[in-house]
Amino acid sequence: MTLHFEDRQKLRALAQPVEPQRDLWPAIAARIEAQARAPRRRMQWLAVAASLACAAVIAGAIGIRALRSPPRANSPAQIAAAANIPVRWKPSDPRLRGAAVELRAAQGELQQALAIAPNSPYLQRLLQNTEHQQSRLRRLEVGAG
Amino acid sequence: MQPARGAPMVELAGRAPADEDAQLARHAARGDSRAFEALYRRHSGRVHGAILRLTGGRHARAEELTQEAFVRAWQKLPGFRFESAFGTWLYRLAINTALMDLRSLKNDPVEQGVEEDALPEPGAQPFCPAEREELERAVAALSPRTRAVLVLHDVEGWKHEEIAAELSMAVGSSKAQLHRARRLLRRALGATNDPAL
Repeated sequence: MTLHFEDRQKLRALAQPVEPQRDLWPAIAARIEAQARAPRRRMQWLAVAASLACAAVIAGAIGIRALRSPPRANSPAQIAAAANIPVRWKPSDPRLRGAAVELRAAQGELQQALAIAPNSPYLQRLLQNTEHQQSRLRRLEVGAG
Repeated sequence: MQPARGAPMVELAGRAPADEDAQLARHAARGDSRAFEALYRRHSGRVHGAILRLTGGRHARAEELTQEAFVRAWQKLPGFRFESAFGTWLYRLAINTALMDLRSLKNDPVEQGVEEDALPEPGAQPFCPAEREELERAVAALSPRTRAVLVLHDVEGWKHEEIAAELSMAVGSSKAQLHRARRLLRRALGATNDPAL
């Protein structure tokens, strides 16, 4: 048993436009607007994080260079102390303090940016570089006494 | 959302509908939501109608899926190459959205076996509004997958190969589902002894 030609014509006639019972546009507009905002916010975070990281790396490099001239001797006790540096590290050497603040700010911003884009290799690399600069600063301060 | 600053107003006077669509689609692809709204107004009936038939007349679900289809169209518009008419592209995208919903059903709807009892009683043959409504109810009473095959083939005019590809089934299964759907419909429409065509 199957359909008559007449029935199939009737089925074909069902292919008529049917307007929704309510206007769907406001909901569609709200969704596409929300989607348009999300990438913009993410890009702003990335830009801020990247610029802070660059500033921090420059600041770190300046601080390191400042400390290296004139060079100062390391003692075994000072190097050992470097292994237990507190999280809110504040260098006593004024030449390093500014760089440390910049690096800490960059680290915080990058961690927030990574919370939004946790799989971004670029942000992960920037965070690694920033933390590497922080350890170098710490070692230098210990070395400078 | 406002159109991009400095975007020209879409001038449509005197254009053929497909050209108007293409013009609006180009503006929408550049972020002009007013052009996209115009496209929505022009195509919402066709899109919603097709989705409504695939959902078996469930208005609330059809409206959700229509919304979803237009949001997906907005996202994909920058990649639209204008190799087909915008209306055709949108219609296929909408059907695909409804079929994705169908595929996401956890239980195999083919095995639910509810449609034979749910079919309406046989009615009169002339295609008056009441009969149309009866036919729509009979189609709606089919299980989702069986209904999808029938609607795509007999209402929307798709080929079995296209249906099989969209529903991830063999061409033979599509034909079998169509045969089953027609048999159930025929029973519902009450002509059990007429010769088949």
